[in-house]
Amino acid sequence: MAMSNQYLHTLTTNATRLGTRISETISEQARELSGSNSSAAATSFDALDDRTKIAGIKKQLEAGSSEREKLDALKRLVALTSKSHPPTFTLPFFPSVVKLVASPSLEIRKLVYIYLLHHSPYDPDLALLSINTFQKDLTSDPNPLIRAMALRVLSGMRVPMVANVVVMGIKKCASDSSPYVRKVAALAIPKLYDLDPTQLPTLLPILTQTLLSNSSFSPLCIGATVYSFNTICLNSISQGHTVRGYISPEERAAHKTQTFEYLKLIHPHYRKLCRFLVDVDEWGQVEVMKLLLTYARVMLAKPVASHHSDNGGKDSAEGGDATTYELDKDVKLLLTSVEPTFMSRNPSVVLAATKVYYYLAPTAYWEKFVSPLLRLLTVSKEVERVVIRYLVVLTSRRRPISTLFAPHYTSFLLRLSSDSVPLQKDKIRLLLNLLNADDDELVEGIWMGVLREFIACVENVGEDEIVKEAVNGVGELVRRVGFGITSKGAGDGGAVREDVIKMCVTALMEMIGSPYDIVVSSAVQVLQQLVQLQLSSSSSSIYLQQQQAPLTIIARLAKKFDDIKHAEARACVVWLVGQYAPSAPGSKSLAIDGIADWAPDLLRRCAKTFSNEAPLVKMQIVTLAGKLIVLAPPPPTPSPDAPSEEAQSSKPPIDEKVRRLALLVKYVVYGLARYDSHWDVRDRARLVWGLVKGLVDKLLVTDEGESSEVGGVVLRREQIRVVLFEGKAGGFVDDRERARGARGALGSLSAFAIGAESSSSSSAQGYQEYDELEDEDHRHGKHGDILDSFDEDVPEWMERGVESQLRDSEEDTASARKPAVTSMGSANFNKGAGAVVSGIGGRANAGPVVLVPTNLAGTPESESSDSKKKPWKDLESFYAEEEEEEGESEEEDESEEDEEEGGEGGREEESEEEEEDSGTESEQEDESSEEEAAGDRKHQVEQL
Amino acid sequence: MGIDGLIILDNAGRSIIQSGFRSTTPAYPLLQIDAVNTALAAASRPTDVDPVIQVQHPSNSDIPSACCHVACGDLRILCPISGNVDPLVGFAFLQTFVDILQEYFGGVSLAIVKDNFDVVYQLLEETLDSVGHPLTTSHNALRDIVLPPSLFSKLLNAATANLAAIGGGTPIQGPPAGPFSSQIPWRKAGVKYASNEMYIDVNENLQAIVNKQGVPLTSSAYGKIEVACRLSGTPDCTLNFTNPQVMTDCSFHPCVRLQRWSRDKHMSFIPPDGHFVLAEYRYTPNTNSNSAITRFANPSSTAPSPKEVVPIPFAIKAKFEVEETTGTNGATGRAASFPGTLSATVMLMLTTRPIENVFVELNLGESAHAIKCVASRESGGLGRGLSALESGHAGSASASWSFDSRKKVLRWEIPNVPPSTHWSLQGSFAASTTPPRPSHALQVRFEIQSHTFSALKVDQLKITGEGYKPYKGVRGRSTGNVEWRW
Repeated sequence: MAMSNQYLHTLTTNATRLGTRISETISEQARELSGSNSSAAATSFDALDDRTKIAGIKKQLEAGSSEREKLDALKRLVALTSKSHPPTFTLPFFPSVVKLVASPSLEIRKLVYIYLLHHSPYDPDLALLSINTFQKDLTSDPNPLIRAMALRVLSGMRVPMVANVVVMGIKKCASDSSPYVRKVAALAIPKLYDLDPTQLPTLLPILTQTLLSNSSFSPLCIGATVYSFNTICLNSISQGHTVRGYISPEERAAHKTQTFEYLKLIHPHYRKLCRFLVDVDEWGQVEVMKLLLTYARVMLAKPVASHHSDNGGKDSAEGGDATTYELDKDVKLLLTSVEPTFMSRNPSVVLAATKVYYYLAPTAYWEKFVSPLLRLLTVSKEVERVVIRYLVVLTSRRRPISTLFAPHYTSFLLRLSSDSVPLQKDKIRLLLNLLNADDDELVEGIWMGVLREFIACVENVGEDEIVKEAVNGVGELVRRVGFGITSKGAGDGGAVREDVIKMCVTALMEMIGSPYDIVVSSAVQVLQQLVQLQLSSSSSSIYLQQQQAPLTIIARLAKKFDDIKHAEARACVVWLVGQYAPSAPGSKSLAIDGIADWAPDLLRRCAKTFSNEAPLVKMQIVTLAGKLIVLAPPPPTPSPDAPSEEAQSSKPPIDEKVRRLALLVKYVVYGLARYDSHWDVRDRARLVWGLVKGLVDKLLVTDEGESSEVGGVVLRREQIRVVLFEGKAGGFVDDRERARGARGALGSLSAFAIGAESSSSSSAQGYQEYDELEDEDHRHGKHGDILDSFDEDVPEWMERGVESQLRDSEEDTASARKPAVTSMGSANFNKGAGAVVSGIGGRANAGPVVLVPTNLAGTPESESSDSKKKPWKDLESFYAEEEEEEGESEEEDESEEDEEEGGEGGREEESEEEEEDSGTESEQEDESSEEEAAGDRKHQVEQL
Repeated sequence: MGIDGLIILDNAGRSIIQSGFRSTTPAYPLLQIDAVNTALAAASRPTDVDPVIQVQHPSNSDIPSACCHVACGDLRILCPISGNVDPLVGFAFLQTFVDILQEYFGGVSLAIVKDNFDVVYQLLEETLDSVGHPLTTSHNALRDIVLPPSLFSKLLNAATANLAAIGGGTPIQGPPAGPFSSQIPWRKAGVKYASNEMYIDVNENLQAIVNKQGVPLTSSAYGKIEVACRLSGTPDCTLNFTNPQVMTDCSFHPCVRLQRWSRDKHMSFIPPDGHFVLAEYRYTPNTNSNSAITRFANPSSTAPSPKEVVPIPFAIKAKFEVEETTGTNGATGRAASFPGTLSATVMLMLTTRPIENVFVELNLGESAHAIKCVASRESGGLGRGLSALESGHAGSASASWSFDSRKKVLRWEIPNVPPSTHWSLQGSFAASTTPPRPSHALQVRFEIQSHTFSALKVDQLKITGEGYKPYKGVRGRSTGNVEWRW
């Protein structure tokens, strides 16, 4: 029995074993299937049956399973990882995955590293366990990919403890033979810097010496190197700044000097970077240009206009005389090296190049970026949007830009059917800005097209916002073209001006007949502004003529009042009518003296529809009534100063029309508005009635008895008139308010200005400043020639720049040493560097010996490294002692600084001086240390 | 700082894949996604959303942060940027990434991305370093690191997972080259093909706006030279054109030696392997009369003439009438019906080739409904064809129309317009509430096969540095996108 029992037992166990084995094989088969078809795996993950899946992965990752299974499991893990940001699901696998890091299969290791990249920040302790493997991979793995991956994982770990290990790793990789690994090393530096800023003294030399040294200089990794340098050293001041908003001048100055210190490290590399710019990969080009631009603004001399040229900015803006500018040869070098990058396929590169030209080159060079920017418009919708935005910003700041782009205005025409609303708005603005161009002929050439475009846009009746913007555009057009062209030939320009205004006003009047509310109301508002502008500025009365005289416009508006439905527009019309009723010229016989005939009529019509009007309109109607009664001729009293009741009552009968007007006014103000349901209307009625009651009563003799009851101060007619009419030139839709609105709108879109043209503090305030700048521009074109900064990104120009031999290095003499793949710049460079011809002989001997980066590169390092320990924090004292030492440095007189800088304020100048001090001082040091460097360089210096 | 990462959303706004974001709070990507979804929901048309959306940086509000996004098939790819970064960098990177996906999978769609989760994720990691700088974006270099998901490579993976170093060594590569073994960043080393081919596609796209009078306001053709290169070794190509002067405002793939181009207008390059866009240019008609523009702009001829105009190969006459049935009664506009009629005629001006796939689209405005149209062909003055009624909806080879009631877009499609034929669309519609606001701009898209506006002609393609004689092919194709106002 026992035997049989035992037998049975073994049998059953065998059977179960068999069963499990079979099921295992089946599942394995199934897994194989899914493994060979990863789509199944991935999609099955989508249907989150997670628990079983996760269990499966765990099993697959265990030591026993095959490589293929592991690979499959890792793929699943990676797929899972990408789904959730804090990887809660996948983090538990960390130990199992870490074990695989030494796997012999490259595929597996790649995935392991990807897993680790993502997870090690979240579980650094476990990651520490495997740190030895990383280090081994880092140093000895034959595959550059693995070396790079190891470094990426190490640097991404974010454990302060390992900072030293990472520094070692970076050092090691920075001199790796593979440029890819060097690139990763460069990119690891900012990460480590974030982790442990105290490592900066060791990190910076890696960047500026090892990675930019000749031995490891490769176009492949320059981009990353410069990117890292930029992130660490060229932070804009507001970033990393904990206290928001306010930046004290001291901080600003400190930031400036610090940037200067950092940029000093670039001296020996400047020309090399320029030369290799074309060969750098596209992302790198953006960074290199950013660095070079900043460097040039800080270190190079500002282009000076020669004195024989005119002092007005106008002519230079027209681009005729490029020769009047003396460019520093290094600026020139930069500009020539940047030029080919305009042909890049990458929009951001083109924009970076544009920035360089915009900020560094005189106006005459600006045409270089016109057609590249126009080309960007066709790249994609998004790019078009961004570029148009930039152009709007640029054109509203700089007239020369408008001049440059104005001939190409057809590129900015709206695509009514497909452009997005914000894009259309910006295009309208841009078209308007183009009319600011310096060149009158140009403006005359394009205004017609612009006007037609606006009209087409209105006819299209797209989104309300667009229509409104376009109608406003027409008004703006009148203002810019009509009132704007005053500088040149009055005779010819006058005719054009008249045309413009005539056409615009005709167009606006036609719009009033439109069936669409939005068109009508916008048109009315624009007309109102025009009329006001016209009537308030006494000098320019010639512009609106004959049938288009402002009063005719008002008359027509009054006539069309019934067709105008939009409340705001109706209010506009009513206000206009009231305000300008007295200025109507010789009115017809049936009108009341001193009042245009359409005004009382409008009041009559308004009285009929009063109850249906919007409160806004009602209030204007009440005001209108008040105004009209003030205007009405007083009862012909011989002695108005003595308003005795008897004198009045004995008057000959008042003109019937005036009487009726008075009745009407009383009806509207005292009868209708006083009992209105709306607060403000009642208030207004009370106010107006209080003002005019006396007048009305005087006219309506029957009410004579009550009029005597008026107590308090009774204003005389003239006084009431002042109250109602004067000080209203701004109108109730204030002109300035509108302008501010436009500015605000600009500010609200400032998301787009984050990048190139505007500072990071893209607030409406910033824009206001720019607008002021533009005004200055209008006043006189001092700013039009050479740019001063608006941008936090771009520091202000140094007036003189630091000595150029700082940038000289042995490679200049041996410039052809490193064959470039497609180097465009080198040829130019040789020319620019002048005396290098003699260096060809010297190249042979100077090259190999001196190129070992010892003395040249060593000096700035020692200087910077000792200055890094503490003087980073305490620069003032640092400079103080330096200055003492260098007191007699051969500095030139600062007083002959360009007067253009005058407006920038003394504070900045001071700090600049300080910087220059340090600049010259450092250059001296360099010089002394390099005394033995090469005789031919001396030679160069003399020639310069 | 820089490019913070990439997020791929499906069309419901859910995140499918996102790259690892570094150093910011976990909320950061969520904020970005949320900002985009909010903006999308707020816009009336998805195209109206600004492509750059400002996002408050969660940890430090002084750091400006924004989200660049593009729609791509049924996906939307977001690229959050922070710090002082030009949004164009974001868009350039997005474009590059989309191109990479395209090259890897032959298309970009939700299904494809889901099917290739792991590859896409690896691509994300390799193209963008977490510090915010693009790492490897050259397709050729990437292929060494991230294996494309061909069935073949899958089998290979499965088979050779045990081998120590496969190094991306697919058999078509001769030596086990390993990643980054190539000297040239955009071309991988050791490529070998059994048959060497190189195809050049010249694609031109006409962008034009035509005003009410039928006069082109702006019209220019933008060309793209696309190359499919399957050449072994490291060939050095030189491409000559018989009429290079038609190309202006060129931009090039990094492989092109710019100096050679500036000097003698030869495109000299070592091509990347596979598909790439060699160059882009704008076509400038050299001697074309720009009478249209001057007539339109101003009689004063001193004004610098704008860009020359590329002739548009067709003409449209559109007529639109809206009957206003209600009188104008003060401020109280009541709901009323506004029936309208529309008619449009397309005429082909080109005499040599047919235009294909003509799409005419017209937005009829918010309240349009009850659309009835007849699309017909009226050839040379024969009057309207009798078959008009049948061809309206029947899916015959001739024209057809449809109405997208969600977007309110009337679309008229003509698959093939032979030379000198007339096509017309007549119909009526009704609109409630306000007076109808049909767009006054027709959007016309079309294609012309084997035709380029510029007549750019490849003179010769020389390949040096390799012994074989490759097969070379050149092909032209034109597309157009014309806005026709009426």
